Amino acid sequence: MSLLIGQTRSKLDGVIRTIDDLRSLDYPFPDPVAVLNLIREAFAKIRADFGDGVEKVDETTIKNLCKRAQEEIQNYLPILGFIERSSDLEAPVEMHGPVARLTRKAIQTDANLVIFPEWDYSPFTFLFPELTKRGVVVVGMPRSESHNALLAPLSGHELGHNVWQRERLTEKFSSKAQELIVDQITKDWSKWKDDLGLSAPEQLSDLVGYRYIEAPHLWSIRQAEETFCDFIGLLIFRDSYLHSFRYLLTPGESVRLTFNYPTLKTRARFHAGAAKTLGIPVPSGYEGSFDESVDDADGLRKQYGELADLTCQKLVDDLLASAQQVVSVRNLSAFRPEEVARVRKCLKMGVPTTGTTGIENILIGAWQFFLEDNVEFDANLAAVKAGEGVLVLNELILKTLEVNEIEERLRAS
Amino acid sequence: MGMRFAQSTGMEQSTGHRSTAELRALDPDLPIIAARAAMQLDLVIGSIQHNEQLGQLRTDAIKQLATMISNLNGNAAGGLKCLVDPLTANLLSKAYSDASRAQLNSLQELEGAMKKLGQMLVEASTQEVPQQDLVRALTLVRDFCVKLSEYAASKRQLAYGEKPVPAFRR
Repeated sequence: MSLLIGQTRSKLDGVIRTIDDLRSLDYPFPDPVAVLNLIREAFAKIRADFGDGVEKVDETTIKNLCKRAQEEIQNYLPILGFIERSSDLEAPVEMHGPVARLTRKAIQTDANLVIFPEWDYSPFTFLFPELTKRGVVVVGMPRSESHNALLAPLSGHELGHNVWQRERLTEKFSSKAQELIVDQITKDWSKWKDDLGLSAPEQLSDLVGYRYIEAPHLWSIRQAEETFCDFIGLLIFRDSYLHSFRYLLTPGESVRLTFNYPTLKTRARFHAGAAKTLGIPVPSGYEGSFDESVDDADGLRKQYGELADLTCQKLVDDLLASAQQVVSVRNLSAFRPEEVARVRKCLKMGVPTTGTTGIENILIGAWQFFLEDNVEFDANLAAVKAGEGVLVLNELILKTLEVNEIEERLRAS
Repeated sequence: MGMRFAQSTGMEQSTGHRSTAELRALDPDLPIIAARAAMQLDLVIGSIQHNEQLGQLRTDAIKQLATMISNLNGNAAGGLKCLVDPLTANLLSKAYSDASRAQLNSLQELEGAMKKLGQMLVEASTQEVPQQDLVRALTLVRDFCVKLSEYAASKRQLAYGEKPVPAFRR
């Protein structure tokens, strides 16, 4: 055992050393170093578990602890790489300030945000317990789109995951989902009875039946979370969220690999329904632009997947209401149609807008200029060469975000 | 668009402060807390067996897990049925059955088992367990903690491990 303990100590020391190396790099913002300090604290705590006296511990118990330590290393290593790459000045640093401000309103006033490009096509967030507890939001955006400022609304979805956790929404929706699943199986008992080892549907409400509803329950909650996050993005960024979602994810995936998400087509349907309720314009042909992916699940897994889909669908109204409540209470949306119109006008004239109050107005105006004005700059703007309109638009969005950040800092000081 | 690693399943209030720490299968902290508690319990057991002083031993993880298990029962009229999701109930039942080799058949039995375990954890954390006959009981609690840690880690993988990977990645 002493060999395993020694090796675990060595691996943990290696992580701590790596963190110390990363802390010495230059970052454009202070957030990454603050996050590294928190991770270091977490690993120092694990390292302390392997102090004097640990050799006396029973073999199974210590092996288990070593396994957990190794898993923590496996879990945290990607985020260390992510933070290391956040020192890359190729990233659109202009986005950081406005998104960080939104994050602080949504999560907590001293939240830290690391938002930088990553080598993964799908945007994602890391939710590490030691970090989220302390208001750290880490968002990865696809490297190949790192200069595409029009995709900034997608950060709203990733912010949603952190809000979901903060607001304890798993607990809120868990019992409702369980109830819906039990009701549905009970209703279709003739379809289920041969597949479940139960004599009566009443058993679904006790321990003996719980193992049969574990998978659909888990999937439906995960689907509910993804749907809620979409609604957060939609409520903050309105139609610009739908445009960026469609840009990145159409025409869809070939195969549905997981039931942790509703299919893209279903998500689009949820978006369109919610947008209609909220009076947000839905892009023409939005739902139809997503293909239905092939679902190769069969047997009980397929039945469970369908049950999870149905359960999530039944939760949609409540999810939207919860998202609306968060956005309203935390004042996350600064949407103002007149400001959107002003942004659009300024973009047409080829100048950054001053006096903006929210990143969402900038992005909504930018998408309108992109799609509705076809990036047609003022005729007097001879400096824009043919074929370079989108590039110029992108630079103008980033410049407008930068101006917004400067103005906000001046206002704060 | 996705989420990496685990989400905490309800450790935070909307104010951002941790209040009631209930045990939940998908709590990302659970595997390491249970592993730590097992180690600390093992050191308590060893000290009792060798008639050593318990005063210097760390018991923070034991206390934390004791609180999490105690909060499972709460004061709700419906007991565990009202408070625990299927995943958590299955996790606790499996860990308990493996550690004790006793099958649990209902939520009521699970509730009883968790009450006893919670009480033993509290006793171990306050280090008021000098009697030799408690060693066997504490060994069961330690084994439960190890199983809880293992199964919670596997549930975490089940819940968050399903992620599309590039077709060419091996």
